Amino acid sequence: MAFTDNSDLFVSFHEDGFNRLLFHVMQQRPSLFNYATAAILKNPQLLCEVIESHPVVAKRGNPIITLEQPLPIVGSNFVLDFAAQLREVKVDFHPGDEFQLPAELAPLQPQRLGIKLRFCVGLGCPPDEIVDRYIPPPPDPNSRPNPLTGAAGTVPAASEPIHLPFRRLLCFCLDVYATGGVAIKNYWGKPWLEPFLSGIEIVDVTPKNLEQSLECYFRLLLKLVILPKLRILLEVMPFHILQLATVTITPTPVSPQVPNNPAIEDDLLKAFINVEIT
Amino acid sequence: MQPTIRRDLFTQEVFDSGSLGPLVSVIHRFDCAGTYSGKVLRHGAPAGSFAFIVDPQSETGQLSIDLSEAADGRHSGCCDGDDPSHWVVSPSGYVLFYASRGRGYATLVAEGDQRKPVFDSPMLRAGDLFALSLIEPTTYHATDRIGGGKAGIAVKRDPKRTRNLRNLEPVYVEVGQGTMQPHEIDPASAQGIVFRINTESRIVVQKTGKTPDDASRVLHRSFRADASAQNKI
Amino acid sequence: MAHLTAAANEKVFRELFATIRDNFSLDKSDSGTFGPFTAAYHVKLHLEGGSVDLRGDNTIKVDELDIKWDVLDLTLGFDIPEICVGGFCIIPTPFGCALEFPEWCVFDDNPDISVTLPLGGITSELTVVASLLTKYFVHPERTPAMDAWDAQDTLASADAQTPFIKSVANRWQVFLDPQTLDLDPIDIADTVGDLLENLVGAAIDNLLWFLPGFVKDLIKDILGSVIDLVRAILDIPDDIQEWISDLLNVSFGLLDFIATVIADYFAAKFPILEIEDPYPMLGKAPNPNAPAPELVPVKIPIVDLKVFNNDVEMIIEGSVG
Repeated sequence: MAFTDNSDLFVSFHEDGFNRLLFHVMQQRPSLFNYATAAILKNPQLLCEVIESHPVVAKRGNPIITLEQPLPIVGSNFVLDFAAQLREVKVDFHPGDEFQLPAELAPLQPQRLGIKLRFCVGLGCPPDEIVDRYIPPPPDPNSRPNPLTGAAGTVPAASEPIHLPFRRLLCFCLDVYATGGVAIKNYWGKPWLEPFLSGIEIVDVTPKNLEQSLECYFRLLLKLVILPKLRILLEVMPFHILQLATVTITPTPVSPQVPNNPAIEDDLLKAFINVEIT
Repeated sequence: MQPTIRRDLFTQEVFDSGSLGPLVSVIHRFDCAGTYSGKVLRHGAPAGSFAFIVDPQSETGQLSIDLSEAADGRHSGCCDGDDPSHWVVSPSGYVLFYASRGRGYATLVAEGDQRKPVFDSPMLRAGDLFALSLIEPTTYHATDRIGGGKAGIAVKRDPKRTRNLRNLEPVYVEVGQGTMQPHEIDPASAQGIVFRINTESRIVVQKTGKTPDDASRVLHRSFRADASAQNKI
Repeated sequence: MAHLTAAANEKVFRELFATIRDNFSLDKSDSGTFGPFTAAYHVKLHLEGGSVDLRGDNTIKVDELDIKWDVLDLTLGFDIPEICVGGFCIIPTPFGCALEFPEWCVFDDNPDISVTLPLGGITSELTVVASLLTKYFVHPERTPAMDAWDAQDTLASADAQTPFIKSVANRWQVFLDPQTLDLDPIDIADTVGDLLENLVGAAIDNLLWFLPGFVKDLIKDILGSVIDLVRAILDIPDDIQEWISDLLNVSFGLLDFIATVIADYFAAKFPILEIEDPYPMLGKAPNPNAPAPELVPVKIPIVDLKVFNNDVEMIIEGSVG
C-alpha cells in the first residue's frame, strides 16, 4: 500500500523525532519553559534546576527565563520570589510505550498521545529571623490619625511591593501526565496542526482538592500557554518549490479510507493532505 | 561593410581609342624584334614612359601595359615582375594598352632610338584592335573620326549572356574606310566589342542615352537615317 | 526508522516538475568561422509539455518534453565574390585565348554581407530518464565563524542564491539527475532554401542601394542565381535544410550544448526540493522580557535525508539530529 493512496501528500512524524524536536525547542527557546521573578532572573543559580540551553541563546542575548511578577502575601505589600520550570516534556504516540501513564489516564486510547511533564517550583521563602524583622509594630496610639486613612500609628501604607529576602528557593517537583491529540484547525484561512488536551493527572498529591486545583492550573498552563505555541502551520512545509506556484493545501477529508486525519497510530503522527496547484 | 565601388566604370559616356579610360583598350602587334620605348600621354601631355622588348625567342603572346600605372611611375602588375627588362613579348604576340584607373591616356611607342613612333594610339592602323566593354544598357553611336565609318550599338540586358561573361565571345566590327560592318550591333551588357581596324582610325563610342527598351527601335530608325545620309555623301 | 516520512503522489510530482520546467529558459549566442563564411546564432528557448512517469526502478521518465525555440536566429556572413567586367577573349584560337581583355572589378574590396535566418518557432522533443538525487549543499559564502542562525540571517550574493533559499544557510537539495537524455535534432523548415535566397537577394539590394539600377542589374546578372551563389560560397550541398541543421547541431554543437544545459539545470541548478538545515521550525519571536533582542528561530537539524520513488509516489525520509 502506498502512502499516498488516499491523498496527494502524506507526512508522518515518529514520536522519537518529536521528542528530539522538543529537546531542540527546550534548548533553543528556554524562556518558553522557565518562569521566574526578577530576583531569580538576576541570580539564575538560585533556580531549582540548572537550565541547559543552546549557545546561540546566550550569544544572541536571548533570555533563558520569562520574567514573572512575584507572588503577593495577601493583605500586604510583601511579595515572594518564585520560579517555575518545566523540566521534562516527553510525548508518546499511541500505542503508549514510552512511559507509564498513571492509572487515571491509562491505558492510552487510540488516536491519542500521552505527555509526561516534570514541573518544578521553587518559592523564595525567607528564614524566620528575617521575617521577624519585617513584622510591623502596632500603631502608635499617640500619633495623630492619618489624614488619608483615618488610622492612627507611624507605619505608612507602602505603595511599592516589599520583596522578602531569601537565601535559596524551597523547591519541589511534580510529575504531570496528560493525554491529548492533534487536530487540524483553520486559523486565518489556513490549516494548522494543533495539539489539544483531553486529560491531566498529577501524581501523589494530597489532599484531592489540592491535586485537582493544581491539575486545573496545569491544564490552563498547557491549554493557554504551551500548546498554542506548538502549533504547526501546514503551509510551512519544507517544499519550497511549491512557493513558486499558487498552492492550496487542504487536509484530506475524513472518509472510510482516511478515518482519522491527522492520525496518531503506530508511534507516528500522520497527516494526509491534498494539494491544489494552479 | 559598405563596399567602395568603382563609379568611374558606370559613369563613362565616351569610349575613345585615342583617349583611354576604363573598359577600353587598344592592341597593336609589334612584329619587328627590338627594344621599344613608349611615352604615356595624359590629356595630350607627357605623363610617363615605359619600355619593352620584342624578342623572337619569347613565347609570351600578350603584353598588357597599364598606362595609368606607367604614368604613376609604377609598373604594371600584369607582366613578369616589376623589372621592365622582363617586359618581353613575342613578335607574333600582341601588346595591349589600357588604363586601369583614370581616363585620357594615350601612348606613342617607338623602336630603339627612332623618333618616329611605330604605334600612335590616337591613330590606329590596319591590324590594330580597339576593344571595349559597354555596361549600361542603352544606345551608343560608334564613329571613326578619321575613317568616317559609323555604327549603332544597342546594349541590352541579357542575364543569360552576362552571367557567362568571360566565356562570351565578343562582337566584332570591321572598320574600313568610311564603313563599319556590321553597322548595327546589340551586345549584351558588359559583353566585349572588338573593332578590327583596317584603315587609319580613331574610334569613338558615345552614349546616346536611349532607354534599353527603346534602344533597338531608335537604333534601327537612326541608322536607317544615317545610311541614307551616308549614301547621299 | 526515519523520524520523518513524507510522500508525494504522481500528481504532486508532475506539478513539481512543471514548476521546474516552467522556470527554465535559455538565452544563448555564439559565433564561429567556418572557412569561407562566418556564422552566428542566437537562441532563446523554453520548455513546455512533457509527460511524467514515476517508475518502479527508482527512475522518472519525462517523455516528449517540448523545447520551444522562441528565437533561433542563424546569421551567415560571407564575402560576395569579386564582381568584374571584361576578361573576355579578344582573339580566340583553337588552342586557347591568344589575347585577353583586361578585367575591371566593380568593388575595391570584396563586400561582405550577412543575413539572419529567423528559424525560431520550432519545437524539438526531449525525453529524459532521471533519478532523484539528494545533495547536501554547504553554501560557499558561509564563513567558518557563522553559526546556523548567522547563516540564516546573511543574504547570499545574487548569483550565489539558490532558487528558494536566499541566505547562506546550508541546505538539503533534491534534484532530478538525468541518466539518459534523448534530444531530437533541430528540425529546420523545408522552406529555408527559399528564405535564404530571398534574404541574400534583399541583402545584396541593400548593399547596392546607392547604385543605378542598371549596375545593380549587371551585378545580379554576373552573380547569377542568388541561391547558386550562396551554395557556391558556403559550399552547401543540395539539401540546404540539412546543411543548416548540421551547422547548428554539429558545427556549433548547439544540440549538445542544449542537452548539457538542460541536464545541468535539472541535475545541479534547480532543485525540485530544497530544505534549509537546520530547518527553522519556529520562527523568530518577541522577547518576553524586553523589546529586544527578539528570540532566535528554533532550528531543527535534519540528518540522513534521502529521497526515492516507486511507480506511484516520491518518498522523502529524514531524521531529527
